[in-house]
Amino acid sequence: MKRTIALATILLTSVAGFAPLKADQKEVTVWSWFVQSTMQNSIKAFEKAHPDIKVKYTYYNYSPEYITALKAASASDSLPDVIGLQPGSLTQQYRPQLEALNGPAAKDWGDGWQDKMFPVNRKQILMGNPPGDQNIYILPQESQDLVIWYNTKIFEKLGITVPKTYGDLVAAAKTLTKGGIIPMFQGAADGWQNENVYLMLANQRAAGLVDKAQKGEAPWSSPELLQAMKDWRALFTDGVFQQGALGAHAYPTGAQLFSQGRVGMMALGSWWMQESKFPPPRSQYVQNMDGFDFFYMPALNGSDHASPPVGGVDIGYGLTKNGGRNPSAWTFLASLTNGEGLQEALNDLNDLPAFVGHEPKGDVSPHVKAMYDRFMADLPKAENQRFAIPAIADALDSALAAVASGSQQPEDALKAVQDATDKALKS
Amino acid sequence: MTTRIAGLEPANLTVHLGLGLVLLLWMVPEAYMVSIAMRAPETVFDPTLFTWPLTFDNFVTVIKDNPLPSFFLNSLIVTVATVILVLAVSSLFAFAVAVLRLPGTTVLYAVLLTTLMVPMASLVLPLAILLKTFGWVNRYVGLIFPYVALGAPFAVVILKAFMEDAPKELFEAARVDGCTPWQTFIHVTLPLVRPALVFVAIWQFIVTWNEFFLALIVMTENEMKTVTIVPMQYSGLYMANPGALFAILTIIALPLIGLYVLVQRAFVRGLLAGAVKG
Amino acid sequence: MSQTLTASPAGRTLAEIRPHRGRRQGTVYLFLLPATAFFIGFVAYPILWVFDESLMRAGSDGVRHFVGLGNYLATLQDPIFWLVLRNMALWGLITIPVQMLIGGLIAWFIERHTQQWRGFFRTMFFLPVVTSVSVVSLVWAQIYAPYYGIAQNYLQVLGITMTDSALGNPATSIYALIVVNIWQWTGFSMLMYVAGIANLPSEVLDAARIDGARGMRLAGSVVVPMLAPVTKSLLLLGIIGTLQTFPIVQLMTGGGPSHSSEVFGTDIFRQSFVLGDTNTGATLSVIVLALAFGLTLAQIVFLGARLGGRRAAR
Repeated sequence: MKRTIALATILLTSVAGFAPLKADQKEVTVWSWFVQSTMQNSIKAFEKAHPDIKVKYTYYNYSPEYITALKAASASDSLPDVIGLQPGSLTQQYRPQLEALNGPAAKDWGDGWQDKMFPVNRKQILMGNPPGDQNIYILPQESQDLVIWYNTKIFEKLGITVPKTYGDLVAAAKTLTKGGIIPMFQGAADGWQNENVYLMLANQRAAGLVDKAQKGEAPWSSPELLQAMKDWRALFTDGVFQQGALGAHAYPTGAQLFSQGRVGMMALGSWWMQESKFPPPRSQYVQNMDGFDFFYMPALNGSDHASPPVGGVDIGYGLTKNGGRNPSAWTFLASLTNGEGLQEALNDLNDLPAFVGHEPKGDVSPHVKAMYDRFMADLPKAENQRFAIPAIADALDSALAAVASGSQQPEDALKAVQDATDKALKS
Repeated sequence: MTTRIAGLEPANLTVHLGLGLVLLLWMVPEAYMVSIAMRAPETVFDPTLFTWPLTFDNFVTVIKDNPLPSFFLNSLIVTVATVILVLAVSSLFAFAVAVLRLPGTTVLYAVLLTTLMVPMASLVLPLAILLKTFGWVNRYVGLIFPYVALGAPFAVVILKAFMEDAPKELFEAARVDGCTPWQTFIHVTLPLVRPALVFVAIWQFIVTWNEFFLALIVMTENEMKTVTIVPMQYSGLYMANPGALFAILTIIALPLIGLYVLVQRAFVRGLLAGAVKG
Repeated sequence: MSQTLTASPAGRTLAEIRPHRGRRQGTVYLFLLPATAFFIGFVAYPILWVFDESLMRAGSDGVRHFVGLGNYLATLQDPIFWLVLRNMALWGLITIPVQMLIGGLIAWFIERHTQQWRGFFRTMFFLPVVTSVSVVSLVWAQIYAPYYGIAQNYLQVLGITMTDSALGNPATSIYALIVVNIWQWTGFSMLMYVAGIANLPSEVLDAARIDGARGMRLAGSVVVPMLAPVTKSLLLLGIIGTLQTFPIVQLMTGGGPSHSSEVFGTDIFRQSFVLGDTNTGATLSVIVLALAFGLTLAQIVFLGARLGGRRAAR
């Protein structure tokens, strides 16, 4: 035992004295849930342009890992220089630890820099700020447009055309199911995927109404939102979504089955194009996105138009107070959102840019380029997909799951969302 | 004498077959893990337990791509140090309570058991603040010390019960022979509870090796990460290739399983000797 | 052993030590010191921190102010809290006895009826305990999946069609998770009973070896009560495990759908990390702590339950 204790003492003193080496170089620390391989490319490009700065990136899965690490680091004042953020609730949660970016951005990019951002992004980055606070705490890197992707080769094989109405959609789902293909894969165990589909439905029924409801400017019991809730339930009962959707996850299961041609349709976003840039082996469908195209949620019963584009900021970055004391941190942030770092992300087709005047370079097929242009044309018209207060998003997630499973009526479910909204806005 | 098959009597053969059948069912998830790790991307989520052909590509990919040895080294350092410290502090504590006697042990016992039940999610934030204050974020001690604190109560409970069950005469004899408490501890008590120490060591090893919540917030630099947080680190990288993800999971699971197979005799012996008394 | 390691001089007799209680207590204190220091630093302090947070509320400006029991009242009025309590009760009431029953039966057959294969069975049934939760969650989600899942693939042979994932139905999600927990932890109960059975006096086992109904009855009426200490230990460990439940639920359902599988761990996580409400998370933590303390005392008082305690049981 004596020997053991001695050993333990040696071990302890040696480990306690261990500290990570600090190089002479300037260093920037970054945390995010952004795809690691793409981020490494961005960092490589940045470091090439700024040889005196070294970027240390730590990747986390979004939930539970990233939000846990962020919260713990924020509580203990050990946040890195730059953190990945979503506009609205996530940014607001860390607002006290974030620097306002208006100043440095205007200095580097000129006074009109905000005009180069897509309108929906401009709106989202201020979401949840206290009244009168025009400070920008999150700089968007990429935008997204939520759509329904479909497998063109399977559609062709089964003789299905792109659905124009809800009836077409249900018929397409039936044909797919009969052909042994999962009709529309919904990872309904993930709150975010459910929110996305509901936003497509609700914005078709009444564009922008969810946005008003979350601000308390319109009731959640509005007939259009109620109808959208019923439409949502119908997607399950009419067999558009696969059986057992409520127990399924979009990643990795759904995405994997979709990319391998086992699924007909899936509600995802413009980021789906990045699959074609993932390391091989890639399926014949994913290769140059040859097997994929997208459409918007077709006209629901009683509606005469498809859903409008819904989307906004995919991911943005914030400069922490720690990062504010490190001049290199802003240099990297600027490159990542609007410089050579962004270019690398776009080249990987990670998603759409947040600022105008960028486009992917390198190995991009005409089909991908055409889809990219369609997205970019739709983006300025996009409706907001984000929530300012996490409790409201949480209540909506819960309501959507309850309605989907039939354990709650749409009216009661929306009332619960209303209660949560009232409570959140009051405090 | 009835006919024997494979040296077993018919009744026993039935039991073996029954156990085997239950085991087969029990092993489905384990087999499935290995099976997915050996699949190509297009068959990863096929609804069958086994697919053909098998491929080792995923293993090659993840071993080539990742500095796995350094993650294993971090895990090993943290785990071994934790196990040693837990054994040291908990046996000392248990000795003081069980052999030297102290008033109010029931209260102490209740407090220890209660803290065993606190969910980790409750402790993460205050621990993060504490570790930052000490400058122990991204240091091995930052993980080892909390692990010791959280692991010691269980070890104390086991060792204390064991020491209390040991024959009192031995301790008396030691005192009569003029042993100090320290000598009694080293020469009499520790050899006596060796099987329980082995049990505690193995259990603590398993628990520490698999912990990921605290590791996640303490080890934020890639060089310091332990092996259990690696799958989450790389699930983004292998988003399009779950087979590779499962290959990593298998690689991580195997050493622990191998270790358990190696030490299971000692582990069960610890149990048999009464680490948890029947 | 060298004397330099200890303050007390060697060669003292028992009679000499006894009168100097003060000095002896001093030594005892040294034995207690390391564990106590770790405990105070890394368990007691965090608990105090949590307790403090539970009495505060942070405004939107980030400034905290004292609200007394306000957080507690709000939590008790939250229907999700009662759902969590129900789920925790279900979790404990189902997993603990079922794991004991299956584990005990497997242990009995292994110990009484196997020879060469004993080590093999003991090891294999224990493997799920050492398997990482990330693996367990991904694999089981795939097993439960209807339509493209593997359970469905084999149930088809029996003519059964799953129409829904048990994980995705609010009425069944908690039970689906309980099944996973039972799968993972039965091996632990098995091993504890293995130890218990091996330690039974051989006369009892010889008597139980009698074939037929009488043997079974004997086993039931004699062996089961004699294994009571193991059962009590498993009960205590089961309660600990129940209150600690987190990763498996978080990774498989995240407490959903619609909070139907929410447990203390996920609810604390949701409040403090997802919703950013540290104070409510802390309040829930303190409630868990109080509950744990109550359950521990109840066990000590009513069952004399002690891990491994021979004395209390006999």
